[in-house]
Amino acid sequence: MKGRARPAARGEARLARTPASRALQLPSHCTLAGATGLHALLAAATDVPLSIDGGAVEQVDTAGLQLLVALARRERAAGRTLAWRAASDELRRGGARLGLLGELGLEGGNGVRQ
Amino acid sequence: MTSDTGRFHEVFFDEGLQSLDAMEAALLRLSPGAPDAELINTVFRTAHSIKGVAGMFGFAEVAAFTHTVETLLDSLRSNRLQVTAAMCDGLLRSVDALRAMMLAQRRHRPLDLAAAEALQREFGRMIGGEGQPGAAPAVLLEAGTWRIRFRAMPALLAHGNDPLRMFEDLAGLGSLQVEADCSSVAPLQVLDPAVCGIAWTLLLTTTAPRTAIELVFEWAQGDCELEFERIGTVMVPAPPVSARPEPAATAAPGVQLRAAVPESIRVASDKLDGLLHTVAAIEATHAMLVRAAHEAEGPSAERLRGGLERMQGELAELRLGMMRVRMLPLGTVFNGFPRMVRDLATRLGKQIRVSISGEHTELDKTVLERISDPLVQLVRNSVDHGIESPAEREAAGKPVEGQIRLHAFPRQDTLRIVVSDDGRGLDARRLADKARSAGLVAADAGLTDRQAWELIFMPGFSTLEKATDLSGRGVGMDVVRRNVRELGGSVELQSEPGRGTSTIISLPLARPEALVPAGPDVAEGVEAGLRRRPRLT
Repeated sequence: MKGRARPAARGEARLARTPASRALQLPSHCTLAGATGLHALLAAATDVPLSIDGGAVEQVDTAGLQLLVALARRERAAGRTLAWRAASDELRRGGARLGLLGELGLEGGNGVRQ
Repeated sequence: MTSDTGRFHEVFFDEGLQSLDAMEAALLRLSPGAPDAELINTVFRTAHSIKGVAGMFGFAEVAAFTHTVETLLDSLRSNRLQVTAAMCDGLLRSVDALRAMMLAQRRHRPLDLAAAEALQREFGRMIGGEGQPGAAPAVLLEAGTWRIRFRAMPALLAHGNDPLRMFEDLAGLGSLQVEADCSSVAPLQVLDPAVCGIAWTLLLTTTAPRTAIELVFEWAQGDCELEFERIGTVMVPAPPVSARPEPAATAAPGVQLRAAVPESIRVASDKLDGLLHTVAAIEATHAMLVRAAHEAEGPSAERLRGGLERMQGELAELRLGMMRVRMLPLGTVFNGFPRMVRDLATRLGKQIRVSISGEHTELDKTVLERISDPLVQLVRNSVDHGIESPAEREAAGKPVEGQIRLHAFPRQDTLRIVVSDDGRGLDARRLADKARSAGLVAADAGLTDRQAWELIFMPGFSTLEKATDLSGRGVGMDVVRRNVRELGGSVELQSEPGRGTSTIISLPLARPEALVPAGPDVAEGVEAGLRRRPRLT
């Protein structure tokens, strides 16, 4: 993805195809309320490595973070690494509070702060 | 702050403020000349309790400052220091400072620590250099480390319980480390987003008791597996009074959390008002049904009428019960007077003792609030005008220490509240002269003593040439009478020159049917015939 025309709206995840990977922009609300749509999108994206842009995430909950954990585990199982283009403070805070930063690959400096 | 944490905090504020009242009352009895060891012990125990509970709930400034107070009290009870007038005064000011801190915390307002820090320095000098300027004595507090294992059941998230929020609440109790086990998370393809497969092991270091920790998971009961294990104890230093509170750096060794098993619950008065409206609405419907049943015929009609008759008694009991819930003891107002009188008397160079009786008499909350200001005015009048200076009293052959008495008792259908003093009494002739010179009464009018006393209830009338900031502005007694009359009561004076003055307030004892709070008119839309009731709130 080259640049971001606009942030993904609440509950809306968007995929952009690049030659070697897919970039996925997380919606502003990664919560149970919008988890079904996000889940369907993540589950369908299986062919190429994913990079995640979580810079616009404003709200997370356990359900939303669990989806990302499941995504990261699937990528690892496939021998790929989940790459983070950006991770908002809220996303990091939620991941840290649930002890999931390692699972998500967000430990240390991974993921560009927005 | 969660609502549960907030509930605990409210209990702390309620009980803390009550403890401060008790501490203040004990300090008022503390004499520099002949200190009472048991009294000092009582004050010490109260301060210790406040410190412990404040620490437990994370109010580090309150805990740290109370520790300084406690240190001074400890020096007194072990006779390392002698009680002085300055100490009594400082300890009373420390009650004021603690009260202000608690009220600020309760209202989520910034703390003004200037008074506390000044007292801390003052007490430090008294103790002997322990309290250097800006430095609080070191406080070591005990904290427990808990291992908590948490595993979600399938319905946890769907029932609105989010571990993220729970863990944030836990972190508010202290220091939290979280370890997640994601081995049971279903593969993405088959994952149900509403089912949490993550399990956690949490390490929480906190001064909060287990009950407070369990409360965080209260709503998740049945939707999760929980194990608690206390695995250690650590001592942590409390921050100085001016430091920002750190959630983990607090503790309360040996302090029991009464809030865990509450003996009473707090209910907002508007909720009670709402229930009273509901009771009134049921009564209106009942009245309508009674009339309908009166006209009914047939075998069921008699049973219906009997049932409605029983219901009438039950409704009366319900209303009476609701009223009782709104009652508060007069002591909530009375008990503030000893301190107020002490401070005012000190400023005026007078010696005055306050005695209180009947403080357990209960009044409706609204009535109590509205009688409070008139009582303050009456007591201030007694301090300012009634009680003479020590020299005057001595010259008149009276004890140097004046007496102000607050007494409440029921009399027939009324509650009497008497504020009396043994001061100079009302000077009927002087009052009459002033009224004549002000043109309020005819120059040749003869007034009985009682008529002259009544003059003080006239708006703007004052016996003082110059108003003081205590009283004497001539706006007091008319307001007292007006407020009491608005409550359906009356005010009467009795006075004797040289012997003192008594002001007797008579209030009608509340009747069950006399209380309907302000709000929507419950009678609206209900068949005519419902008796309208006066509103008290």
